[in-house]
Amino acid sequence: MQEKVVVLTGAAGGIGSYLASYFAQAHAQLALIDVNKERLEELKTRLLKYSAPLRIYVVDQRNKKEVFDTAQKILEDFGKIDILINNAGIGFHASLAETNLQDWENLLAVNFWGPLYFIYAFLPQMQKNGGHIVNITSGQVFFRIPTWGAYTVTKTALATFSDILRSELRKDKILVTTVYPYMVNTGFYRNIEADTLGSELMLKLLPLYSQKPEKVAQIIFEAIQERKEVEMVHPLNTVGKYLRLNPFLSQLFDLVAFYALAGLPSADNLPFWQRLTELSLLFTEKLPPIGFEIEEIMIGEHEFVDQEGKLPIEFRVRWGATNLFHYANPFHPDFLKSKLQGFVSVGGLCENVPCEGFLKLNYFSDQTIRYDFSFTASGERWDFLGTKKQIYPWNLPWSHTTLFGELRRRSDGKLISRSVMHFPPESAMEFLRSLRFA
Amino acid sequence: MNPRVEKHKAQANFTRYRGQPGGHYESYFLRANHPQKKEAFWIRYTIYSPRHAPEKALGELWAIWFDGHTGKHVAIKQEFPINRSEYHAYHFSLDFNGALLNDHEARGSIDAGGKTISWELHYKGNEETLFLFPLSAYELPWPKAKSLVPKPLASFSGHIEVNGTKHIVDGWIGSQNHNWGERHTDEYAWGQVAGFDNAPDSFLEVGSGKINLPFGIKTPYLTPLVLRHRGHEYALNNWHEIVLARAELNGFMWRFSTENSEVKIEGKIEAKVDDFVGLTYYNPPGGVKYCLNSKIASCYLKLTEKGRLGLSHELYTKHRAAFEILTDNPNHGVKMYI
Repeated sequence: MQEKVVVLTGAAGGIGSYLASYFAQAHAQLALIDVNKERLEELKTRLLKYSAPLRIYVVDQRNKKEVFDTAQKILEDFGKIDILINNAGIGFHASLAETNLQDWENLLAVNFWGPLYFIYAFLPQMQKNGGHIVNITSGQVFFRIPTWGAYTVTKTALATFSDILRSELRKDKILVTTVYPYMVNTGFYRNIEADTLGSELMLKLLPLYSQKPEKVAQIIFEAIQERKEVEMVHPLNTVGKYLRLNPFLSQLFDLVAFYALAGLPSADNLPFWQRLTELSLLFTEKLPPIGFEIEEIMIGEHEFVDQEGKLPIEFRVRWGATNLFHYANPFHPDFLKSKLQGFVSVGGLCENVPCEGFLKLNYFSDQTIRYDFSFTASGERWDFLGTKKQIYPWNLPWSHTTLFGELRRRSDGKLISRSVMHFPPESAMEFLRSLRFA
Repeated sequence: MNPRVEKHKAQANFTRYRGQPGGHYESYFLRANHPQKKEAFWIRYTIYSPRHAPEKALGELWAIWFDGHTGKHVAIKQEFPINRSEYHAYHFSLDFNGALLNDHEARGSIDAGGKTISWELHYKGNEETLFLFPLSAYELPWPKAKSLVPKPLASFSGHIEVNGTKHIVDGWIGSQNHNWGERHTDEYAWGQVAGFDNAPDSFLEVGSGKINLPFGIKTPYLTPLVLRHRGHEYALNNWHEIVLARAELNGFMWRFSTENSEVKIEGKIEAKVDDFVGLTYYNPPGGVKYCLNSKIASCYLKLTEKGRLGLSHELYTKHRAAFEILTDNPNHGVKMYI
């Protein structure tokens, strides 16, 4: 990869930033493009450690002139391009009837016209020297799920364009790869509002069935290295592809998908949901709320960022919920969120000072548990954010017992120290015995 | 980010001793070689707790100055009750009878039998912790003896004073190590190279151990090996690789050979009898073991990459290898210093 010049659009996003990282590690020469200048500069800083030659370009790919000017600039800066990766894209979630023409124009501009502009901008140079065009489309092309219609149409258009282009450009020694990512857990779905029970469940449970962006980026990187023509990314995309060949199964799937995602009324209007809400009210208003509290110790070492040597760090906190029903209700804002208070000792800074904040169990969103608390020491306010990471059923003995922390000074937000803390196994009985219901 | 690996790294130097009645030994040791001369130091902070008698637990300080030119090595040891030792279950900071050790410095002195060694050292390194065994070995009761290298390729600076002679330590390359267990491995050879003469950034950690089974049966040598070379870690330490590896110890020459689908590594570590210092280790279940300890041994290593048309690399060091042999046999031929 060392000799290759790679142009990557949407570089600052979920899949894009990981792709950029893989190419930087392979010492490719990188032209990174994104519309978000700030995140692009952050990415550049993160990639500096790989010592790969790279430049960043802020481009709104809906604008044809901007794209063609940038392509010219890239050719001047690098002298050539070898690989163009059309990764930038946006999501859109609404029924076709609710998709207005402005939404269509915007979607087409980003998801279809943008990639085309880049391809046509670099095509003359590639037709002379050969090259590789990678179009990242979507697995939705095969599933055509209701409420994702406009998005699916733009991606289907790009996929079809990509497949035909492959045949036509073979004579010019240009390889065209079409990539079909399956559902990827990035910010892509973050701004989508669910208005039916099905879509709400689909978004709630996204982390359980979606792929992580780093994994998808790795698959795409390997597909590019192996010069694949088509990368399906996930076996379910292949299932979806062949489902389309069978009219009966295809129609059955569409019916079920439509009923689940669009046919069901809003969760709030479902009779059983109303019953559930009434039951919830019974618990929360008519019965005394049942809460719980438990005491936990975490202990380990921290290191000031500007000072050599690890020092002890420890906290003993009580956390819990005042209303267990809210705590266990996936649709409640306080789902798996609890208040936290106790005492913290940070070697070199303070000993046994009171702290308070929140503990949030993000099992179903990003597989983390976050300890977010603050305290006062040496006349300053300090913010501690600790994260137990990669929480999966198969690694609980390690993921649940290891906390990676960062301590920042409130006044300027400066990172002061990093820590790794552990749940002491010898405190397990004490931890369980401290559980109180009230 | 693998939380299991990160947890083990973060705990690499935590003291495992909790007054276990079943017996326990635990050592932290530093070692490094002079950049050119055949000289090295070895400093060891040890907890020894005999089986069924934790009240008799001891703290120990050991130090050896190896002088391969004159052969006049200096070895010294001090014992004291465990209550004169400070250590922590969740923080690496030792104070053994006034001798200090933490993750970046070591200070202390031993004065015994008319000999003195004192040290004031600072060390640093950016290499990741090296695990000689698979991670499961550090979580399960077996093997009884655990070993890892929290700071491989550490760079040392400061000084060591041996019987009044001050030796400046300036950029000596070595390692900070930690091992512990319920008992010593019944019989072993252990080797380490922190920077080969022709590959100064490469690091080797290898051991061959035999374990006593019932009815007087011993296992063959079990050999885990981890080599870091040119930015790649070759960890041949899965259980089946450990069992299938071959090793042979003839006097003071140890040969080993191990492979997986990616690589084959063959090596030889040896030292002259005069380059060893004989030490007596207490074994927690009772009795003693003889540790024949050299930090100025030679090592030759051949690495053949199977996936790259059989390309091979040869690594060697003339006198920068650590080589220890642990045996029950008192007729080993090495001069006993302690």
